[in-house]
Amino acid sequence: MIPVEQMKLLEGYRFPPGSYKIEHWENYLLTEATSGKKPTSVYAHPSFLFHVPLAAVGLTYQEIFDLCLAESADAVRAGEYDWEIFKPLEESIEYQAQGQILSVERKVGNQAGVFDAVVFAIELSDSGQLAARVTNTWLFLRSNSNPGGQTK
Amino acid sequence: MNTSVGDPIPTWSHGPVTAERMALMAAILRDPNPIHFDPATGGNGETAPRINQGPLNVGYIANMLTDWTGSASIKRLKVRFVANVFEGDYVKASGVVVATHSKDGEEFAECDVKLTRSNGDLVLTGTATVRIS
Repeated sequence: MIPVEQMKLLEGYRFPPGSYKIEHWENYLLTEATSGKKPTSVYAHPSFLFHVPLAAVGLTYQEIFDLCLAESADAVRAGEYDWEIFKPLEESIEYQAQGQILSVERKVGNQAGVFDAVVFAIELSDSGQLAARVTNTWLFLRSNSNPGGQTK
Repeated sequence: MNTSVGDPIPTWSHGPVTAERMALMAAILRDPNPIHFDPATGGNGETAPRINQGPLNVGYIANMLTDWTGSASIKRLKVRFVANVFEGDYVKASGVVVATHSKDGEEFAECDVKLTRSNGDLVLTGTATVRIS
């Protein structure tokens, strides 16, 4: 099993700053995926708060998995999402992003077995004004665990 | 909107959850996790039902809230994942107002929210802050 000391080295890791713009087609299709009402305004579906921060800092899921030493793509689970929205996300705005890994904690769950809870926060800004802050916890299951939790 | 503590949020239901929508979400997110699109992930050659993405489950809660208070109304959404949603499942988002307050001339509602499967299993639970006027 990956030593917890090695995982703890991730604490404070700063994601590369970057930006992302939500296109109308993405908003349309993601909203369709959620079975939500078709977008009739410039506002983007709130679930973009999962996708945009990571895309903005230029990381694919696989790169996050690799960074956090995921044992496989299907050994990653969602823990918690905390999305603070100071200004609703809109299509066609270039959001600037910056963020970091806040903490890493090794835990043992009844269903999940041994896992590392990785908490990261990313802020999105529009023209220098904070638009949203996401603080998400992902769970990286370790080899003797018994996966049973929710996927990301 | 006239909202009081104890008021239920109009529920939002969806189903069945389909493999097509999971595949669409996986493509949008560029999510490589095969459990969302490949049924052959059960091990030992077995097939397994595809597992819905967490952001979709949160999206159902968001749909409930925005149908209730408008597309730009959510100020905060905090959720904890408890269980999975599988293809073929029917889900229901629900919630209740637990507090109201005003700030800078706007009214807000604090809500407890949850997503359940049709058999009553809790999928996710959390809290939300929405602007109600």
